[in-house]
Amino acid sequence: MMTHQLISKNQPSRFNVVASTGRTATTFITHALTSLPGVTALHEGHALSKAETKTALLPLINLENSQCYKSPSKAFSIVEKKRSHDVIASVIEKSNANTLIDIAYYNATIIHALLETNQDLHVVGIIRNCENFVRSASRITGEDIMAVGWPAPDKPLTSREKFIAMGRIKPRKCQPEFSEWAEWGSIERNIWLWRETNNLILKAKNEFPNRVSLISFETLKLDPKKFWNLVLSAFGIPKSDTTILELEEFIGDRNRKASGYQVPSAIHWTEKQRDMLKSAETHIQSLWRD
Amino acid sequence: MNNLESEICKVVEMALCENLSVKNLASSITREASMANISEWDSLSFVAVFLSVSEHFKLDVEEDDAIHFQSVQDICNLIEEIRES
Repeated sequence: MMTHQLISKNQPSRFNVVASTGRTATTFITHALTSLPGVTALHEGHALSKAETKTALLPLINLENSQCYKSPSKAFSIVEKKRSHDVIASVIEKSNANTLIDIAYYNATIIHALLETNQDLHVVGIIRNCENFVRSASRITGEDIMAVGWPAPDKPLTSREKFIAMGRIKPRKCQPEFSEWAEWGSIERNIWLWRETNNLILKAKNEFPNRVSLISFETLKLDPKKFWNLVLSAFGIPKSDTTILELEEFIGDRNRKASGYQVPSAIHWTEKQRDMLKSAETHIQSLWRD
Repeated sequence: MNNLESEICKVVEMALCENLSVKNLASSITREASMANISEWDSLSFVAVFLSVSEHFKLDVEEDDAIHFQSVQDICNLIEEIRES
């Protein structure tokens, strides 16, 4: 049976991941990839229906995200428990797909363990412009239903926001930023979050150059053909002009979300915040090799 | 099921029922219960379970310990570990 071939440990793995800070059109990318034949794309472990309902297929990794950031050995134990060959094989069997892709922010903290553990896994890292990420992820008032970034420290949180915040990465005690954290607002915290998340992705690219592909989030809008070509090549998904055209049309239909930023552009930030932004961008640019 | 497991089950069930304003859950909380198999124990009710269990057992825990509040067994292991230390 085809399914048995798919789940055999001797067969090349068809499990791949997208890693990013979040706020990188991950829901849209999930829908677009799932529209391809033989592909099941999950958003943070969940299959999304057209009506935006979610079905959990892969075990949740939320609270573990922060633990994995703090301890590489924890990352390995979480991957062993929640992204093992058996877990993946079971989801592939259920979804009846040739390729399973999980698109999630937490993949950055387990990226090294995933690549070490699964020799056939490929990663696409999507890196967004820092200023836009910070503006998109910083919530000052009201509920953030996709609470990717750190909110204003004094913003009241809903139960869902609290739950997500419990797993969000923050500086380890040994890091110099640890003592500054309490003084920081959402802009500084999200610059740090952007820097650290992308740092993990770029370190993985350095260690596994042929299995990690990088692309800027902005390319999705500026040159969607290039974006989808890279994603399909990285994941070994057969592509044709029709496939690319379908994905390009997908963006026309789906990517029309209003920004809703609550934080002004960087020219209105304090000098210290702009210095922090520049320093983070310089650091990430220095590590980025295509 | 030992006494501690039984007590944890009661506290978790009460926390979930109070949080959802219901008298009963779809299925009772047993020693095997976890976020993976109890639909009401989700990201929205997690914080209620975390706070209720911590308060009931007077646990001095931080947010980093939240990882141990995803199943009855994990909570049990955490409490035993804290009591032994």
